Amino acid sequence: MVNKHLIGRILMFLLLFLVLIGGLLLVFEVKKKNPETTSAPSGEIPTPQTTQIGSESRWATDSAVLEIESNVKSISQDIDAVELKESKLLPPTLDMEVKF
Amino acid sequence: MRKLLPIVCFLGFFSIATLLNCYIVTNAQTSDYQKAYQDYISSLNLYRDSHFKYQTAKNEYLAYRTLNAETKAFEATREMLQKRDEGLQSYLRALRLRLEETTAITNYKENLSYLKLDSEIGWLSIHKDSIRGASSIEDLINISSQLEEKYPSLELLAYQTLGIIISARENSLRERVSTQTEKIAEKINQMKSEGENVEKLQRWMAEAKKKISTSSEKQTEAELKIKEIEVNDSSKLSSFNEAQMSYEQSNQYLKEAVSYLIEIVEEVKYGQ
Repeated sequence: MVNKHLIGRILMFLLLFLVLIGGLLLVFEVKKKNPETTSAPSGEIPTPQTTQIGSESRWATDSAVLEIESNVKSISQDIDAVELKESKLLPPTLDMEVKF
Repeated sequence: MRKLLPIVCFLGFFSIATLLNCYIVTNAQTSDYQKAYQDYISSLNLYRDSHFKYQTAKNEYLAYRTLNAETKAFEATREMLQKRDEGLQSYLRALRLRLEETTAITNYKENLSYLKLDSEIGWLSIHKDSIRGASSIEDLINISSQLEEKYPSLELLAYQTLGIIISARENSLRERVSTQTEKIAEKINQMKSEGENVEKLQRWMAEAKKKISTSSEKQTEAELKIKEIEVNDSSKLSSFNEAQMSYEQSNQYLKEAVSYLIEIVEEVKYGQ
């Protein structure tokens, strides 16, 4: 009886330990997927606003204008990020002169 | 405590199952191109190892001229030639998948490039099989020379495919910029019809359109530079680099056009 009780307790501890490890690994996995971005400063200097912002015109809240603004900003980001070099896919350097 | 046992069991299995699922999803997110690229890098490393062994065996054979050294040189050369074919095959596969994942490629160009790449991958497969049938170093040298002759056309195909990929990206971006330019033009027309003074906006729009047009010209220039590369051209890479500079200029003009569009939108919102 004592032995059974002891085995039950050991099993319980083992399971609790597994839950704890599983939980910890999950937390690490979530952190890995969503890395904190606020901790390291980017070092980038914000671009000064070139346009003199005056009072809003009646077009400032126009849905079409807002949509265009959002689209143009999204394109601007894509243009900055576009890969134009493809240097990883340049033809490899191989020995083409096999002679003895 | 015993009543808690099923709950603890459930939690334990749930945590482990979720964790496993996380790993499976993460692995599945790796694109076909990424996998092909990793295969290519591995093949290239295997080729480099085999090339080192080939050099060592060749030097030994040339120094001692023994039968044993000859056999070792034969085996090392055969291994290196096979790895060279495998490396090139995996390179062309990675290039093919890069082409596949790039959007906005016109069907004709896409299909033609696929056909060419598939044909070269097939040729390399046959060539690799022929290496197995070689019985002497002379046989291997002859088989190797077939690829040596073929390689310039493979290089050309690679540069042409890279050009198609980069052009497709630029075309896609320019198309999006043009669509938004048209939308802004429509909005300016509407503003004009409602009595707004849009002279400044129209002038800025003309400037933005000029940038888009110059971007297109620069891209055509880049495409022409790639088209002019000849099979036996010894400076293919420098010609391709020149084309890349034109692509970058094309992209720069597109950037400037977008920056004008942002200013125009700001003017519409706050300047009227």
